[in-house]
Amino acid sequence: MPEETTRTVDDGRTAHDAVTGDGTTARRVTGDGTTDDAVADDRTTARRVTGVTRERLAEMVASASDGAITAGEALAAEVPLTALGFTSLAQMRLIDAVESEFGIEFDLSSAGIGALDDLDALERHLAGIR
Amino acid sequence: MEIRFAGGRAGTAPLTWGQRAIWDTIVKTAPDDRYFNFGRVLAVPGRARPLTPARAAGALGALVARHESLRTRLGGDETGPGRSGPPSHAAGGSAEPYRTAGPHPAGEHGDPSRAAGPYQVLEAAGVLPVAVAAGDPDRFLDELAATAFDYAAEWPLRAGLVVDGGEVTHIVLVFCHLAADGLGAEVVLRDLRLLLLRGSVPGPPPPQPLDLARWQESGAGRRVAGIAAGHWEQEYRRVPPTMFGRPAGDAADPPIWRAQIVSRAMDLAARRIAAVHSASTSTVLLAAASAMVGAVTGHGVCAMLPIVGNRFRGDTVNAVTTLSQEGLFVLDLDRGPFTELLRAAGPAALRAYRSAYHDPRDRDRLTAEASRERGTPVHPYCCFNDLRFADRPDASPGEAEVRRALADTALSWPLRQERLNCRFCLHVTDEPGGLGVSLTADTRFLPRPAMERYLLGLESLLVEAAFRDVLEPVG
Repeated sequence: MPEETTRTVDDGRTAHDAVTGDGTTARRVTGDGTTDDAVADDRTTARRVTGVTRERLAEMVASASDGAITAGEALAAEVPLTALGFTSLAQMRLIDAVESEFGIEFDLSSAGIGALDDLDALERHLAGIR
Repeated sequence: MEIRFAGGRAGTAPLTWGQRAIWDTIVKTAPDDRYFNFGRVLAVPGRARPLTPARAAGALGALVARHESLRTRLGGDETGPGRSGPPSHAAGGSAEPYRTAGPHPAGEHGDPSRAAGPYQVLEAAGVLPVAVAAGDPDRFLDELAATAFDYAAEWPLRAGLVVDGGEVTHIVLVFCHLAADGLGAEVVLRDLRLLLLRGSVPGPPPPQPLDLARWQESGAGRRVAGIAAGHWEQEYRRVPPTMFGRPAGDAADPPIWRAQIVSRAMDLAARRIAAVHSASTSTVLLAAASAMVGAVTGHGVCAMLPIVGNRFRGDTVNAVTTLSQEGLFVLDLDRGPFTELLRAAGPAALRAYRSAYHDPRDRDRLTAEASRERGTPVHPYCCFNDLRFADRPDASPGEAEVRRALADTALSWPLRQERLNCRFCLHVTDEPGGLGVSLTADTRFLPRPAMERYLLGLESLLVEAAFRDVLEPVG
């Protein structure tokens, strides 16, 4: 795993924390555009890093599924990834890749596992862990 | 005939987690450890024919040079030279179902040859004997697989050429389970085919067990091991100490029997349930098998040990070595609808798969701790091995079709033997007549009529659950 990627993601988490402490809210704040300039600067950082992370996660989904789901399909998906053919083997590969790349332990409780089913949830999950 | 092979490097390393796991199992199963030998037959592809024995030998030599696992043997005090089969002190079987782990052999930097336990010894070059015969390749395979490997002295691959009029028609390979598991054997077969057709295998060199062992001992490897160990530790505190603990009255002779059901109805039903509930058929079968274990034992929690391929990572996916290990699958059987059980089985299966990539020394230690705390040995003695390569959910079969298929279900008793280091082993295979589910059980804990009822009950649960919401079965 390239060190650079890890560092970028770490910065991303810091940016999330600085704005809202959680990825979900970060996107919501970014969307409504009613905050002051100082926060807006942070938001820009958050959005940039969030974008990178989201694309990276989509690539990881594509790689875990051996291309059965492309990164583009994962980004555009409006149904759960399992409905697109994301198998339990692919889920295991994704869990392993995420744990290795972000140095975390994935929550595999019934509640946590929902994060494997779409990128928004996965991104929130990763943001929430830190 | 003989093949001289010469590869790149020689070296020693601790056993990988997968090698250690299968070695522990071999030791516990001795002297019946030939049970773990397995093989493959490669029909020589048309474009590689006619194939002379000399060219076949050349391809086999290149194969052994490419995959270090095929020229790796066991070293260490416990495998003493000249010994045939596992150590004699273990040949009487382990009276204790759990063992306390010793110190980590070799450590991170130590010399593995000074370690107490066995270690892997990779040789750069050697001579591999090759048997040559005419006749039925499958019978040839059985002959080659008939005796246990001499793990320290013998190469872990037995090769045979089936000849017809001087031409090689089939190549038969029998593997020592320390060198490969089923998926590793598929990689071997694919590469052998390419060597016969093209003379070389394209792409980067495959991951090798020596490097894998070193990674597993590193900080990154220990982190992965730690996550897995956490699952075993937590669940071993709460699961039934064993799933089949009550001795039954009417044991058979010999005590270990295998029953196999081949059922197209069960295949159609499992695939339909998988499609309807966005699950894999493997998860569907794990859930149903667990529910049925609850039904025959009365336990409210089922702990089952699925054999997991552990090929989720880039450094393992194409490796020829034994990566398969047991994971710990735990399912609370709340006697509600089967679909609820299936919903819970999804994450439970993922937790089990992650727990399978573990260091057996951690597991031994945690098992001993849990056993001590609970005052009784903790071991489920209940395992599950899905040996199928494809998972094909399909919602299309109708109920009438599935019920009609029930008439073709066949049940047989293909195997019996004296010893097994488990009490309840399910194997799932794709058979020409449908889904094969075999149950190898210790009849001292589950008599033959109960084995039969278990398999037919599993079929009936799946067929029912494919078309209506059924409650979990109660024994």
